[in-house]
Amino acid sequence: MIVSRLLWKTLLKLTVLFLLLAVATTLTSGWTLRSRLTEEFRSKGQAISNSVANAAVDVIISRDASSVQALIDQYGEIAGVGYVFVTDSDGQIIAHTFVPTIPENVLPLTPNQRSAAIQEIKIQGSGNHIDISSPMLAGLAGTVHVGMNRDVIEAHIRDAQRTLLLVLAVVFLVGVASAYFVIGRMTGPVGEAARVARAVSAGDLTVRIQSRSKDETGELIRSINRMTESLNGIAGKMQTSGSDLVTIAARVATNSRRMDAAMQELGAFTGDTLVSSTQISNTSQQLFRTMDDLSRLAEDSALLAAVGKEGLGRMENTVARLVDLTAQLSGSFAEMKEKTNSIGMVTTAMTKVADRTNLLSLNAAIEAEKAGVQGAGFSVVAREIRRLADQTAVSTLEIEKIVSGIQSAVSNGVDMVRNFSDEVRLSESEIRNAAQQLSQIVEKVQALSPRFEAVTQGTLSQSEGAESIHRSMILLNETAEKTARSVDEFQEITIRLEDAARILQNEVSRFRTAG
Amino acid sequence: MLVRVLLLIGCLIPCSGFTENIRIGMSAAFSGPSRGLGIELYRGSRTYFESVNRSGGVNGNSINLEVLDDGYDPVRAIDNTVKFMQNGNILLLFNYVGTPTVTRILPLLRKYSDRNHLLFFPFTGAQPHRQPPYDEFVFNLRASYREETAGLVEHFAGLRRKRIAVFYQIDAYGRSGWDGVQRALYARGLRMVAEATYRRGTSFRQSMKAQVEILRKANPDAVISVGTYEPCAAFIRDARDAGWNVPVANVSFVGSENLLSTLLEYGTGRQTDYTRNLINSQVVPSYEEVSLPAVREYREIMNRFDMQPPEWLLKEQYKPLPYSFVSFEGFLNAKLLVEILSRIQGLPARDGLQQAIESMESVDLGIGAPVSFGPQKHQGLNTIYYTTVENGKFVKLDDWSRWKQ
Repeated sequence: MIVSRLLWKTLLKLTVLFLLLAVATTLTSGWTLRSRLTEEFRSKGQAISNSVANAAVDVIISRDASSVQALIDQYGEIAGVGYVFVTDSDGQIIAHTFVPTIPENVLPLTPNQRSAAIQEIKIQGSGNHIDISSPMLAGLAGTVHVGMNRDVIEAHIRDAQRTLLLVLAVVFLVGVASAYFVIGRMTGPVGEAARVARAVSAGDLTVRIQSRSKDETGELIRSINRMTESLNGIAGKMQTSGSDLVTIAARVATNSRRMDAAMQELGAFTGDTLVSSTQISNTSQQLFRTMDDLSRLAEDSALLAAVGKEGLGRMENTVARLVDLTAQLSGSFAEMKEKTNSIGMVTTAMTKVADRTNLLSLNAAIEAEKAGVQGAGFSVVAREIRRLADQTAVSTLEIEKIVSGIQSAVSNGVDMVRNFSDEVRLSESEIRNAAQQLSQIVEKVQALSPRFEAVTQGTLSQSEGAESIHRSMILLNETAEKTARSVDEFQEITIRLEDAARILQNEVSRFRTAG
Repeated sequence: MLVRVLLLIGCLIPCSGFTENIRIGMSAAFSGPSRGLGIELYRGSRTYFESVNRSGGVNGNSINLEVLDDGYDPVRAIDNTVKFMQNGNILLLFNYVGTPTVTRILPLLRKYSDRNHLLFFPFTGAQPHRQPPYDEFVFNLRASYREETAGLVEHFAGLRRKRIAVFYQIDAYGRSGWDGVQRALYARGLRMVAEATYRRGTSFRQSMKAQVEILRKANPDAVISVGTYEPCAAFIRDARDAGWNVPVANVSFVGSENLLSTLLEYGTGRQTDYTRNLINSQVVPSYEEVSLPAVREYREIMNRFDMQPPEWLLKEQYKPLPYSFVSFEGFLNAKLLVEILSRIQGLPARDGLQQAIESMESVDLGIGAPVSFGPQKHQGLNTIYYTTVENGKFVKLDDWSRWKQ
């Protein structure tokens, strides 16, 4: 900012100077122009006035107003001429250029004059005028008045002043531009030094300035360079230490975080274990009660098994008797079968007798036929015999059928008894097996009961053990929580340490160091 | 025989049956607020020349009216006059319109007096070309403004309207009328009670309220207005709009029909009658007086030919009038010129003109007033005709008693 401030100061002075110059020039030029132009206008008005006076004198004498009017109209068109009017020898206006009418304040100008005169006059509606009058024929023919418009002079002055100010403004701008460059070159090294100082104050220690000059500014710059270098060294070391500290703090923090995590895990674990041990304690108590029940149940079972064993013994005897009975029944049936077989042989012999009788009757019938009518009575006997034989055959067949039915029935009964006997025998062995197994069970159950007792005793002691574990776990948990709290505190302290280290490092890291 | 053949051959090329062309130069306003005057004056003259040319011309010579526009600007009028004098064989200058223009070309006529350049019948009543040193180069037909204003003052004074104010154009024309009023009042021991001016070239759109206020403050019995139709109509408009019904008298140069049509057009759809208490002095009789042979002839040829200015000359729109005082004056100017030229043997030349016109005596143009010229008399007519507006038309004013007080 040093450069700009210097520039501002210079520009301010420059502006003041130029303002003074502008005011002075405007006033001087205004004054000069006004006096010169007024003089110019006066002589111009004089010339016009004289010229109208000279030209109009003939016309005035002939009293033709329109010719005078035509004359003054031409002069009225000249730049700067506000009005022209001509009076006759009586002071009456005989021609003029006023629109819309003759202003009242020109009337006092009209009294007849004998010599030229210049007066200032203000005309309503058209501003200030310089009134220049010329008498015609020494006033005998009248007077010519020419009004030169001062507003035209003022407009000229304004134009000139505007141009002048414009030129001054351009010169001023050129002055400002050159001041900017010159001051910029002069204050360059100082600005550079200021920039370095700003950079250092902002922490940048890498900046250096090139200095070629051997004057005071060069010395200043070199000193600044040296200062920056030594600052750079100190800041560099501080930065290194700071960053080490930060690393250590970070590590401590990491460890403390890990420890905290472990403690939390341990806490969680002991908590879990506490729950488990509680459960175990409960379970073992339940188990003890269950085992007690079971032991009683085993005793009852042993009693029942003994009763069952007796029942089975009785059942075995009954089955053995049933086997005997069956064997007897089977013998009866075998005897019956033999007897029916002998009936069968009788019937077979009867059948053979019947067949032979039948054959004899048939031969007797044939012999009776051969004897004719003496044989007739024999034929009748033959026929009777044959009919008897047939009847015998039929009866034998029926007996055969009945015997055969009895035979098959006996046969079936023999089979059935045999089967029954077989099954009874099988049942007998199975019952025996069952009885044997049952007695084994009863024995085992009776043997189990004392073991149950032992187990129950074991469970009881286990339950007691679980109880004591649970109590230990509660103590452990409390201890873990205390430890976790201690670790938290430790971690907090670590974080503070870390922050402190970081702040230190930030502070130090603001210094950009080189080397 | 030989002569006839030569004539035939001679005529095959330049003219259609005429021996020669008589070229006359006219510079007038064909543009700007006073263009109506130039156009109407041209039409009256050109129509009469047309009818003469169609019936064989003047002694076998055709009359060719050449025109230039000066827009009522003195400087352009001088330029145009120099053109006429230097380029081409112009017999005479004719029908110039306006006092400031004519007043300024007078020195030219004097400078080239050795070439005998004469100005015939300018459309102005101003004094400079009616008195030395320029009167010898100019011939007028119309009466002067002095005569017009003197007539008006006389009539107003007769009605006991003695407080006269003047509204005028601030130039040679206005001053001429102002001077006429002043003189007439002086002769009666009276003074002008107020005066108000306007600049040449002012249009109808512009306000004349300041002028109305200035004159009204003096409480005049009558206002004599010396101007052209647009600003004069604007003055009448603003006076009547302010509720001031003082009689306003305009001189011939105003362009009566243009003034009337402007006021009628403005009055359409408005309560006020802007044509009341208007008096117009004229230097030719009314074209409504058909008892006059000239009026009958004028009307007939205007109906038959009705010549318009050349197209290239008209930059602004203009609606020609069927008849007007201005075109009737143009007609009379042309008729008198033809009468003069016809009295010259052979082809008229500049150096013979003055003698020809100065020998004119009691020429009957058909308006009931004989026209005479002489070496000391360069103005043909002195009669002033007064008109007023009734039912939107100009009528001859015989009875002034309505304004008696």
